[in-house]
Amino acid sequence: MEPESSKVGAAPPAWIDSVVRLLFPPVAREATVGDLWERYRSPLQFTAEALRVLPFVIGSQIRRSSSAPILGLQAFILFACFDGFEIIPRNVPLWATAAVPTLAALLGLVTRDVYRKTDRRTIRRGLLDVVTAALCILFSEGVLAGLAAARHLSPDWVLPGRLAISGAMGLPILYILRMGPRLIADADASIGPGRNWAAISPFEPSAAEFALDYHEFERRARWRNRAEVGAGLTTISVAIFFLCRFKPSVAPLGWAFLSCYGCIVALLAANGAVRPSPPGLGFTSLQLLYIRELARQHRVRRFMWWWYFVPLFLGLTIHLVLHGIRSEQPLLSLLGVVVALVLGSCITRLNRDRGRSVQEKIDALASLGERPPSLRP
Amino acid sequence: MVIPISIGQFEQLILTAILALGKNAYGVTIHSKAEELTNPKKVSLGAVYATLDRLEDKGLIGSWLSDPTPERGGRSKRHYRLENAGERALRESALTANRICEAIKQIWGDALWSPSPRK
Repeated sequence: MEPESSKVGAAPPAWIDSVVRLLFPPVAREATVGDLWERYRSPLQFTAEALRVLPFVIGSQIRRSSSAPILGLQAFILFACFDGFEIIPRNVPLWATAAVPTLAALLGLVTRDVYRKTDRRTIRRGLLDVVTAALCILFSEGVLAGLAAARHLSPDWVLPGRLAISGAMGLPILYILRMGPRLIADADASIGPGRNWAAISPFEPSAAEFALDYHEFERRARWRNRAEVGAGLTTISVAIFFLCRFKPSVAPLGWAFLSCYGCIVALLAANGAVRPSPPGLGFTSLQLLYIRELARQHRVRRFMWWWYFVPLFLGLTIHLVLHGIRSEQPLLSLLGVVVALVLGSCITRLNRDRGRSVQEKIDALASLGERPPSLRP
Repeated sequence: MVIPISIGQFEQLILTAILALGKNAYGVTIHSKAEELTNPKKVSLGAVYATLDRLEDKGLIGSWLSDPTPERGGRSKRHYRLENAGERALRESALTANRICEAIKQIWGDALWSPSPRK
């Protein structure tokens, strides 16, 4: 089967090719732009075809690179930090003011995910993600402020100063949220269905190789833990500044929020790292330790995901459910319950997805046996 | 017994194209083959890419990059092959399609294969 004939030796102009290459996500660029070259007939046909194909390729990359629960939780945390759940009489409702920077940040993060070269998560990449989100928020607010200054929009569309600071509180949580589940996956990726010993070598690992692998898992988990503790402390610092500076009406909620994060940071500092393997541990004992630590790490993180969102559940109860009851607006209370259920389902799904991958890794580990010396390559 | 993953009509079409093309299955040829199979209906090249990604994520097909070629501006082709799960899913779809044909044929007879079987 031969492809549609194209002019022999014909190629698109270099500048069109450069633009097309830039538009296509790096993961799909090589094959897709190559296919477009092969079908080249004229610059117009090439450009039109590239523009027709591009939405499909980007859509497919969004599906592949974004996780629905993580995206949902990111939206929740940003929207809540911009006070989107607060019901107060205002020219422009707060939910609309909060929705713009939330959507801008999500758009920036999704675009970043689509145009990544690799799927490997690092601490630096997590920081760049947060910087991207912050820049998108600043840009959207800048545009709104410009439009408000030119009297095209009500100034209420622009976030008040106090909300900009409470929004900054959401960024470290955003970092944990984006890096947490994936960093754990990276930390555990040394042995698992994606990269197991059988795939690397037809032989089982030796005890020394296995110990090295555990050491690598321990090292990555230690860095992940430090990053999470750092993000937690940053959130607490910004929150203390916010509470002392603005003395908001929801201060009791704010202190509850702080105590939750204090507990998380204490839990992580005390219990978050992987236990080091004692020297001279045999293959089977190390295998058991590895499995036990993977399961324990999963339990700690599963518990933490709920803790991270305790303040949000409290906020939903106060701002929507209780406010609806007090003001005799049953629909508002119902909305609060529905939103809390959606939030809970996002956390449950995140934990379930994570649990599935941890179980696969544990199964892969459990199936390993020590390579006999006679089979060593 | 392994239950095959259920697939949609367009996915069946793409799997069939990959099966028919053998070692020469990559974006451009898969698209041409799919258009040949759906003739006279046109198939969007973008939809082919999106479906190939989805089938790969489902574990029904596998892919690898070939060496770069000059007619592609020095770029590689992404070749596709059916995995065992893909073969099972395609076989199951073909059997279902066959059963549907038989059921229709019992009512319409050979008129099933003419362009407009009923007036």
